[in-house]
Amino acid sequence: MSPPEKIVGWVLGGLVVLAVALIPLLTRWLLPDDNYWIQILIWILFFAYLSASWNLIGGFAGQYSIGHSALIGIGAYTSSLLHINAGLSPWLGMLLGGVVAAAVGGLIGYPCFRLRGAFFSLVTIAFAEMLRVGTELTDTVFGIEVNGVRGLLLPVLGHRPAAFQFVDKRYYYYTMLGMLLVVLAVGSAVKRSRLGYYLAAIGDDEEAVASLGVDPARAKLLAMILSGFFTAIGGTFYAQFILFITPTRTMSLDFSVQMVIMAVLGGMGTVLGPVYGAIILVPIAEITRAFWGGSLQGVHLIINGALLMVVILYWPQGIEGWVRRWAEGLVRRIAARVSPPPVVEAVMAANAPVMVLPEGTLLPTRAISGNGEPLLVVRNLSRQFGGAIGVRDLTLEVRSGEVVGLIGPNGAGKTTVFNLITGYLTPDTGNIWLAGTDLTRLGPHAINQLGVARTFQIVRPFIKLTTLENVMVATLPRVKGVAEARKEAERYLAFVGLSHRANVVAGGLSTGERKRLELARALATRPRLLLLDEATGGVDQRSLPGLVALIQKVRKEGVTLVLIEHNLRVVTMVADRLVMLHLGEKIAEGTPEVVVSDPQVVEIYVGGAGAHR
Amino acid sequence: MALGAGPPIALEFPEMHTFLQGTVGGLLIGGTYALIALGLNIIFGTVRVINFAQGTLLMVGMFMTYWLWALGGVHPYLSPVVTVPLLFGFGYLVQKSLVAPLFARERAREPMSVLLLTLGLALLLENLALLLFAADFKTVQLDISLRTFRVGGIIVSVPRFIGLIAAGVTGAGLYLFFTRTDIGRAIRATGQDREVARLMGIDDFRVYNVSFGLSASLMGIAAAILVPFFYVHPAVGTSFLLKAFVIVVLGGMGSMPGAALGGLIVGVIEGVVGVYVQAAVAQIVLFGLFVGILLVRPTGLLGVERR
Amino acid sequence: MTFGFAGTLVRGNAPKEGVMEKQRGTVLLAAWLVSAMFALCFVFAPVLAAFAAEEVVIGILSPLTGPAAKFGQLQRNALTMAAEDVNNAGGIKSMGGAKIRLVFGDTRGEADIGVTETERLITKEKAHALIGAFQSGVAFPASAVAERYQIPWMTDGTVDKITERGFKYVFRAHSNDSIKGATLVDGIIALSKRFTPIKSAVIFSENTEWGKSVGDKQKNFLERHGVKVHYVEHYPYASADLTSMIVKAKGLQPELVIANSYLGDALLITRQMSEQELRPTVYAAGGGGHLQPDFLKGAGKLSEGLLAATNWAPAVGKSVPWIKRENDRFMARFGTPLAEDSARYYQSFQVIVDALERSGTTSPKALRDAIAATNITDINHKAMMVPYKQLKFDETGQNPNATAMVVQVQGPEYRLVYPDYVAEPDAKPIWPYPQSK
Repeated sequence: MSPPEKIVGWVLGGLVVLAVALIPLLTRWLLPDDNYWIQILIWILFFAYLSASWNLIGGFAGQYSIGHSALIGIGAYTSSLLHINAGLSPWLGMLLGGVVAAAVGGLIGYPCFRLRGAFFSLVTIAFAEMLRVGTELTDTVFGIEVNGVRGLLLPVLGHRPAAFQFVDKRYYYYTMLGMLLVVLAVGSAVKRSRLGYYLAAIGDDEEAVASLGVDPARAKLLAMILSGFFTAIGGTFYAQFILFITPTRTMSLDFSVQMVIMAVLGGMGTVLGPVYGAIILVPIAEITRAFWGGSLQGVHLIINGALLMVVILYWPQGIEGWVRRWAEGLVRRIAARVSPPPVVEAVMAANAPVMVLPEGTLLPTRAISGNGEPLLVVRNLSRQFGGAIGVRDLTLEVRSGEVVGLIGPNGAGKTTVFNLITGYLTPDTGNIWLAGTDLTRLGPHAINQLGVARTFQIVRPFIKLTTLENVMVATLPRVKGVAEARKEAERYLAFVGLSHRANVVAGGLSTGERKRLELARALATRPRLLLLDEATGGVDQRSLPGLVALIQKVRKEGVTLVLIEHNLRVVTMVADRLVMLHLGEKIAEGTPEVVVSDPQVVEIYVGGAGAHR
Repeated sequence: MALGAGPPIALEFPEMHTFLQGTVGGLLIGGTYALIALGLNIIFGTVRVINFAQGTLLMVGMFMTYWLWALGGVHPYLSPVVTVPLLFGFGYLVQKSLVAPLFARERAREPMSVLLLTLGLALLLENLALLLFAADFKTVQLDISLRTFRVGGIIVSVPRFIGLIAAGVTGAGLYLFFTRTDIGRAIRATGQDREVARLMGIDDFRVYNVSFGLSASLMGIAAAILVPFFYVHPAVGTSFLLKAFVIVVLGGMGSMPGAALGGLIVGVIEGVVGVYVQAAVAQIVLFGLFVGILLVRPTGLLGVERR
Repeated sequence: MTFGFAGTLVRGNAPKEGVMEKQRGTVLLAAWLVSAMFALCFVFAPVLAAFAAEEVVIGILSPLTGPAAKFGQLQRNALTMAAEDVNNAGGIKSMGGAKIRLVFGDTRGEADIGVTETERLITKEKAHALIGAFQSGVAFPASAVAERYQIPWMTDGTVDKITERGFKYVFRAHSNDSIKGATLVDGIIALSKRFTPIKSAVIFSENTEWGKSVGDKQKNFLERHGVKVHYVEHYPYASADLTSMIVKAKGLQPELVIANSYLGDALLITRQMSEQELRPTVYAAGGGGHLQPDFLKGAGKLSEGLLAATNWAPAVGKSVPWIKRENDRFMARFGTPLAEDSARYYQSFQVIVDALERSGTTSPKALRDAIAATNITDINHKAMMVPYKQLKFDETGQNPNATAMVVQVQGPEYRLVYPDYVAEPDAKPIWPYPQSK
């Protein structure tokens, strides 16, 4: 967006916030007895807030917690118990509740992140139910009355701002509006920060993120802590608004599901999505309750369920996209009216010169150490899968600066070796060292931080991120700020020749481009050792020479390479040494000429007497 | 900490008899739990998704059974004749028209969107039932509802006993189905390796449809078992669903004998904890077990590690 | 920024902008829609508000659906009939014949729904007075809402605490748990002196506000009479299976079993007691579900001999003819007789009507004062549907002259057996509980 567009956008946004803030004042003027309507608006803001808090872990990090109401309960009970028993102002109690919930969420979430998606959700439900039932059963804790299923009634104090209690609902409105703006701002900040990039990538492909040196669990933990903190604060608001809390309602599954549905409907991974979801669903609930409250039960829940299904099937990205596109269109039209963009600027932007890097300057000095000692040492590496042998007793050395080609027919165990080296699999026996450091039991992100990078046999770009953003995920852990990460990423893109596709969403790249992207991404982690898995796989004939040249360029940067290659012609051109695997065992090793003419090798590849050319 | 309930935990040690009575009671209901868990397992084993609507399918079956009795005088034990095919069809359609499109869209093997979809379906069905049938608890009064017989000194409730037998027979039937029939084997094959199964000529999408339908139809049998001694209510599905999750994880995802074993274990835990402490505490214990297993031994007791 | 599931894959072509592209400045643009939508609402609302005609709006909180729905429906019927009677007789005369309009809030038996429904009845329906909520666990917090808004609340719910909070706008015409509990225990002990002694007891109480309160009261009174109460078990309200609880009690062989339950649980407990062969000498109930006609139907033979504490039974009509007539009218119209709770709602309604006639206005403070000044001693006054010596409220809002009685199920009826001055002479107490044979 150009500067005038940005200004227009800010102004319009500000006007909207102003309008929302003015509503309660206007309604008093329009109709004298408007408590009911203000209440509905408050519920809209409240659910938008809760949903946005959920979104921090649910939408941003892709961990669907369906037990978030437990955090609401923690917040509500913490502040209420402190208020009733210790006279502590709920404003402070609210913050304490947030801290407790953040801690609980983190402690419980962290070990559960490694569970597969659906199981994580089930675990969150289990925890929430445990907490709910436990609270229902608890009458007193250390003499403090919790009152179990019967609930806690907060003291009615009338208008007491210091105790977070008001008579006029308008005060609650503004409090919640403020809270909503805060959580939206936090969400927006997270989005733009390092954490936001990590979470976006994790949501796409968690394993690939680990290969770039980012610890997915830590990123998710941060998101969980934030989410827990804000959700709990919402719980306190609820307690102070209704002045009555029960475990059955505040920690209910229904409550959790409502938060999820609003975020899904509005647009899960977006900042404003939950707001739109609340704007639509809360009025529906209120209207159906008002019209049919006595006779027809739960109509709005039927609508919620149906909407959830429809959205998942047809508009999984929620309505945020439409709203944003409409809004951006509006902004552009207004901005164009106000100050038309100069034509010259546009032309210049299109013809911006492409960065050209002098040879050997891509990577910082760490990679360059071509003094010939073994960089990677693998000893007696074995791994079985049930009865099938993956790798058997493999011993291998790769010297610094070398290019080693790993060849063999399908199922020989080549990718398994890569997975073992990079920590995606643990060996049954054997060890792996990188320049003396034992890698054997480390995880993928730790290994990458030590200097081993890899690409994947089936390319795994983060398809929802742009090409540039893909590489940024790799540069972010290594530089100070987002801006610097972007500049770094641009260099790597230039190196692989993808600068012109920097802003294209990775999903739109061709196979060859994706391969190059993955290469750039791996290089961006500043590795000493780079494992390329089928770099030429699926690439058309015309693009091959370019790719080969690129691999050689990488070598000149001082990176040690191990290539898995099916294309014998390519690998014999590029590699210093070949290692051949068959059925998990090394059966040949040596210079390309030697290996290729080894009768055993020929037998396996060609399968019969004589060698064809 | 004072539990808001009667007897403190260290009460006069209930005699062995009481303990046995509780255990037996648990075993009896455990069979039915296992049946529901089997339904979940079939879907998870083949289609590889968590069906959040499993409980509401049970609830639908129970309401069908109830209305057949209330309006048509059909004995619940005869209702499967109607409910099983209807539920099969419903499940088949759900998979075919709702879940399958999601598979086409997502590249993950176990798409999360299916979880949300089935959640939406569960919400829809439960509240539709609430709207149509109100939130009252409906019960069926049959002469066998209260009948009991004694084994040694232990009282055994007849309808629950029938339920256990029926669950066992159904389980055995399923076992034969999966090992002896072509369709059954096709289902198992697809569950083990989708691609290879496809290569061998198995229409994996059709297999999914059948799996879902089969799983739903099991709920018709479970409903017939439950209605004689359990109340019928729109929200009844959720509590069974949660227990079924615990069973499936405890026994091992995708393992049928695991579901059977898990069902019995869960039933017994409920019975014993219910007698020693309180029924509600049993829930906490079960959930704790659930979380513990997922973290410590995710494959459960009899589950198989999958690649 | 758009994340979402697979927008690009579905559409087939990649959108130009990327996920991380900033949209500084388009924050909250869509709230334009919000403003527009609500501006429209506010345009129409005043039109509706101007619809005010002189009428009295009385809000009723009841469990119209949910586990206690049977109670709620009877309550609604009782009030509908009572309100029609008032309106047909010319409305509130001191207010120029203002008609009464009932508005119902379905609590579903849940406290927080009760709270929000009360809010709705007050803020949206503009109720001038409220009656509710049958379940003490709901009445307790819901009445606090009424107090906050300063709208008079006639309590239906026996937990003592409801009127012990120093509230000015909350009243209760009928007896509370202390009185009911004492009456039940006194009755049981009196009978036990005639027949066989009670040495020990077990109490099953639902884990609600009422269950806890009444169970504790019963335990206290029993212990004062020297009966050993093994324990009070608070089981989850609306349970599916209570076998473990009953098996556990069976092991202790108590002479007395008291259950404090709503209808579904009452039936469940009664049946499973039979099933598991828990056979006490006396089976009693603190009220609630065991007093419903549906309980008699559902439990059949098993209900015979049950003793229960109640505020009201149709047998009361035997000594007060107009009550019998009213009950017969109700029965003719709705097919079942009144029950304890519906009679209480009826009474609360009549108290409000009586107060309106005296205040001549619906203004909350005046109405509240009129209720507080209630003093009825004429047994034929409609507010004496649940008859007492006197209907007057003390400073806490409770009617100190409210009494309770004990009924026993004999044949398919509730017969009054205690205290002696209301006991039906031809109702011979059944002892022990027949199921124990």
